Amino acid sequence: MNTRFLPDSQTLLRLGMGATGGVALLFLPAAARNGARLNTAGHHNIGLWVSLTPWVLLGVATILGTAAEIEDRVFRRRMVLGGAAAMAFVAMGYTLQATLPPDSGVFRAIRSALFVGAFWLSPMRWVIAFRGVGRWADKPLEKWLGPAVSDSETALRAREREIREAAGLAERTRLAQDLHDSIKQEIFAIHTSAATIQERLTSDPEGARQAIEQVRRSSRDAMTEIEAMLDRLDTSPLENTGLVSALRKQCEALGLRTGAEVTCVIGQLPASKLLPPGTHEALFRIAQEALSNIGKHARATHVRLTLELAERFLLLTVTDDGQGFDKREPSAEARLGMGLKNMLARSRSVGGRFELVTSPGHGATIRVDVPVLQPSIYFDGVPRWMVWAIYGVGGVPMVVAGYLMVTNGGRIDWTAAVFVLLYVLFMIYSFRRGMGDLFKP
Amino acid sequence: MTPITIALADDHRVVTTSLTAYLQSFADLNVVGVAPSGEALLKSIGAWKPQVLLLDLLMPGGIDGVETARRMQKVAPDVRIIALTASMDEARMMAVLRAGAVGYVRKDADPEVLLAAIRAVAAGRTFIDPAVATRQESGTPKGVDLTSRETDVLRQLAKGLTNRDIAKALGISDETVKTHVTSVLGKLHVDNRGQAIVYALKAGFAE
Repeated sequence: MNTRFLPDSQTLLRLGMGATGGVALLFLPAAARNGARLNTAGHHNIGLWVSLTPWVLLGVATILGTAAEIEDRVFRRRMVLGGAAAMAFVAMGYTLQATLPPDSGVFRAIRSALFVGAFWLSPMRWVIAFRGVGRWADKPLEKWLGPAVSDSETALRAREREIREAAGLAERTRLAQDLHDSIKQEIFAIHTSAATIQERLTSDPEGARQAIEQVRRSSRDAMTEIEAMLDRLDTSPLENTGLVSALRKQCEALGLRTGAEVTCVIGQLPASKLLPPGTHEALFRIAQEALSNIGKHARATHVRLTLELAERFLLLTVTDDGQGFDKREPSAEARLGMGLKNMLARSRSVGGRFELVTSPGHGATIRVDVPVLQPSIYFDGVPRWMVWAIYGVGGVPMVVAGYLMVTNGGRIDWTAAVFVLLYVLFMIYSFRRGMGDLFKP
Repeated sequence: MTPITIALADDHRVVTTSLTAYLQSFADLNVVGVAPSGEALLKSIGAWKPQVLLLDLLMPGGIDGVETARRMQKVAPDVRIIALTASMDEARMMAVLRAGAVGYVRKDADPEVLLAAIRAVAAGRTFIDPAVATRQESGTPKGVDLTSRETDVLRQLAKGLTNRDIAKALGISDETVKTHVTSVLGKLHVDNRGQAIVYALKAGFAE
């Protein structure tokens, strides 16, 4: 069974950005040349529009190409606004160019800044800027654009609802099974131990005392398991702390149910706002499904659940050392098929990727990564002012290069080439520092 | 007298632990082995040689109780199997009886019921938890035409009695009882006494 249906949405985003940005870059000299000729010759018609086109294309392609892949409402809205703002910016540049007297020094400075700055401040940069000030931007966006529900979003919601309903049914079956499998057994033990106490009360006080211990232990374990089940029935949205404690309880309950040693490692989580809506719920359900499968099929002695940040993703893994299974074997597919589909659908609903690795005799591992939407994550530990400084420093060479190109009548002379080279080197450096996302075209 | 030797097979440790403690409280019972799965049980049964096996029906990740009972018939056919289960699932119950279990007890029954079941099957009788009858409302089965003698035999059978006990109770010979039992099983379309008892309980033949 192929469980890697969804390519990484971040990869798609970058590919789209790279492609559109690359095309735009090819047009850059032409645009500059056109702009220059336009002003010296005093024509502003066809040349203007020819040079305008790549920028508009860049904006449109960015919006279409990425919005289609990002299933997160907030992110998509920022994306659209970022693209629109970039286009408005470019259009303003051309209007200025067409109206200001060509010989004014101010005009030349503005014009060159606009030409190249438009590239520098291409949609991706706007998107990132908007993401950076996302919390600030959300409220006015809501006012201007409304809650922005598109057709595809309605479809997405319908699909989410479907998943929820199907999962609800499956969850009820599972709850019934788990009630049978855990709490009923604990109560059996309590009942039997009470009978033991009755039998041994006078004849064997030590045996009776041990049975009392068993009653207490089983009562406590039954309570833990009931707590874990109540969490599963709870429909209120989970936040970080809720998710952490709910996961811990599920792990503990699995340990009680199967006798396996269950480790639960939960690292620092990003703020809830930085995750696609529904991430906590989805991760909880996926983890719960995985743990439940382990309890039912794996016969594992060690289970490990981790939830932590891994680069730009929130990564959930559940690993067991049980008997594993052959994913292609029809009986395994029949048994686990629905559960796997649920896990996959839930991962996708928050833009994440789902992966299952298993083979007979080698345990099983599931991995889910959900993208984290915030440059402060990209710039882990880097102060905000430095981020903006990097923006500025990165932009200056391009602006200067553009200025030189334009004032030089469109030919790229050696000074311009040096500036462009500087920019490229700066980009390479940024990539190596792991800050590449900000500097990709 | 020598105690009844018992083996337990259940994947829930809490069940086997508490059950062992309980059964060990009685001088006439002795738990000789505990297995967490059907496979583990089949491996050790030869060494343990218990008279009675308490077998959980649902054991995840491997062979279940029904399959274990089936394989037990090849490995250790003399062991008297009591199915011990937390779920009331008629199909499973019939399956495990067909596979050769001679007892069926729910985990929500009082521990004394289990005690009675162990002693009964060890004495050669068959023991079906009476509660299974009240759980099923399938009504009187149709198309079964038992003679009055056969009905008497079925009534006695429903108590879990052996042929000899029935013969004594009805004042007839062992051989005659055997003939009647065979005839009853045939008319009810069942393979063994356990299934016949389930039938009798549901059809109201048992008190």
